[in-house]
Amino acid sequence: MNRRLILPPGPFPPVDPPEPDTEDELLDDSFDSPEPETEVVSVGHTTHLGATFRDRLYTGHHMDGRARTALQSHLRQALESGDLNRAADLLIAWTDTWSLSAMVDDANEQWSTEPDGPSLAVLARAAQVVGMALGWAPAPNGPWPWPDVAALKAAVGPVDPSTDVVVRHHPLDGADQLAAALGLDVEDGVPLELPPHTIVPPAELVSRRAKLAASLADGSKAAIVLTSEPWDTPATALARGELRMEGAAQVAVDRYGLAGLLAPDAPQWSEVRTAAPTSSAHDLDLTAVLDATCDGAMVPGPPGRLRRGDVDTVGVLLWVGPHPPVWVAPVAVHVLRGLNGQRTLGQLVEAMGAPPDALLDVARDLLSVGAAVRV
Amino acid sequence: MSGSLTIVGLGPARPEHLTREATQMLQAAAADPHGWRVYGLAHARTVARAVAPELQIRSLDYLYSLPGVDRPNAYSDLAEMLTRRAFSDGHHVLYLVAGSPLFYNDAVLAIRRRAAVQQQPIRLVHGMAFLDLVLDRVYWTGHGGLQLWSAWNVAHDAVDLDPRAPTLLVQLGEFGASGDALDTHRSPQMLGLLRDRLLERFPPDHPVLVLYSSGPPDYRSEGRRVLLAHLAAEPVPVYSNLWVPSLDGPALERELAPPSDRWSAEVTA
Repeated sequence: MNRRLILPPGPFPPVDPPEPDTEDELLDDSFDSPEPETEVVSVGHTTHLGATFRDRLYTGHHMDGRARTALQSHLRQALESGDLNRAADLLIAWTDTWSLSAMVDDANEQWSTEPDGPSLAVLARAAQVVGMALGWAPAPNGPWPWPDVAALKAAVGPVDPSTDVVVRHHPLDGADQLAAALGLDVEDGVPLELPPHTIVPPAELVSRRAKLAASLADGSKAAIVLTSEPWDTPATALARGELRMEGAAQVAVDRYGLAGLLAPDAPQWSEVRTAAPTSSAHDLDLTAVLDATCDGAMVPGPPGRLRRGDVDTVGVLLWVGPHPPVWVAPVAVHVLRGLNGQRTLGQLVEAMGAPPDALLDVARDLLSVGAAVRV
Repeated sequence: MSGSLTIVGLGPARPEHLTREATQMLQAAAADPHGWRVYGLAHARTVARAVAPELQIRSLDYLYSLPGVDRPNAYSDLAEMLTRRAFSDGHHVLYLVAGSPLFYNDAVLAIRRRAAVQQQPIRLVHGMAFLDLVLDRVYWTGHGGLQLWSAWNVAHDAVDLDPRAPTLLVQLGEFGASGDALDTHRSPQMLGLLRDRLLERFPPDHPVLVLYSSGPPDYRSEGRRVLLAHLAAEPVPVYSNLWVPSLDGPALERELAPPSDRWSAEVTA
């Protein structure tokens, strides 16, 4: 009998399985949102959906392609429907596709070879962006989006309940959910190699707090993994605060799910990007030639104003690199788009019909935030 | 279990204010990171690391930002947590606090009460209180005694002051009954309430002294003298205090004393 073992999507196993000898093609017809990649992670008789979806969706190609396009479309719909909180979230995700397009492939490679904190932070943000772009809800544990049934079936291909089985390596790895979606049985595989942790239903968090915290304080456990988000009460908040203070991996687990156990020091997404390197604006005059180092876009925003119900057009500077977006006045984007590394600022003044002093001020600002360099 | 709980007062501001006992305690804990579990808020951590850079301190800052958790609830939880860690889990716990553990510290109070109820001994390492820095800019004779009150108590709790004795009202920046700190720009609201309460006992031209710190890194004792009627005219820093001289006491107690913490800079300049 030719049995096939199927592993659920998500961050596990972190290390990629060996390359297949022959490449099969996934059935992509019904897997319509992301573009197909070449690799199908099906080794022997095991299909690794975690690696499959990571390799297909958590890519620079997907981020600056279909993910960005989908987010833009969702953003437009949110604005039209007046859902400005959602619009703000979508706008932030849309701007993050620039950074992610430059960072996610390396992060995926790192996670697939030697998992670490920064790669987890990048993959987790990519996961959120993918989820928002494709409309997939988060998985049972952590920010990892759970593919819809059509995507799951497309990725797995035809299933045969008499030969195919979903393998569960951890009670919270999504195997049960996958088996239900595919109509397959579940069997237990070798447990994931994770630091010691305790799985707790949220309803028991407060009553078991003292013992749970003691296990973290004495180091016998690295974290407490809740099976779902608890009710937001003062007692719950205090309990979670203590666990986060005492557990070596608790903050990472609360942020990233089980994957946090493999990278207790994982930073937040906001911490893995730094401001772009700046250039001196000293002695800048109209003879200078500047070139842009980033993209500029005009968008409704910024996010904070959207959340306050205020829709206006602003500029945003976007780097294809590990730098956060910078929100600017629209005129800065106009000037940025005029920088081509060849014409002088004086020529740009003439082309734009702009006051020289005002344009020089904008040019200095662009240099000071690393959006331009002198040629 | 053979744990212990030690509360260490770190003094009001600069590392130089630490007692030798506190310094030795911190350095001993830094040298034995597996033997001690150390907890503290932001300012306490900063001061402690100045004399024990390697000290691993667990941050309690989260207690101040939990949704739906007010200060009394947070202090009570902190007391329960630290006594449990020491006396149930068997760890040697150091709880670092700014100033003196015995002045206006509800969390320490809760810990002491809880430990007493459990018949567990705790150790207090005393620290210099903030009062020393506050009194730097006044001439307190002691002849008429001293009334010490939280500004909140006077503004909101109908505490009746005796105008025959000088009064020190502390924590002008204390905003809520739960202890939430007032920001500088909202302080005139508290000052206005205080002024109105004090005007029931003192004339509008009665002088009062606003006493505060310059903040990090020098923590100089600053002060300004205003008439009671003008008390709410300007905002004050969050951690400010108010000196109210007695009505008929020594004239000296109405004066703003010159700072006594500037000599070192001038001498070394």
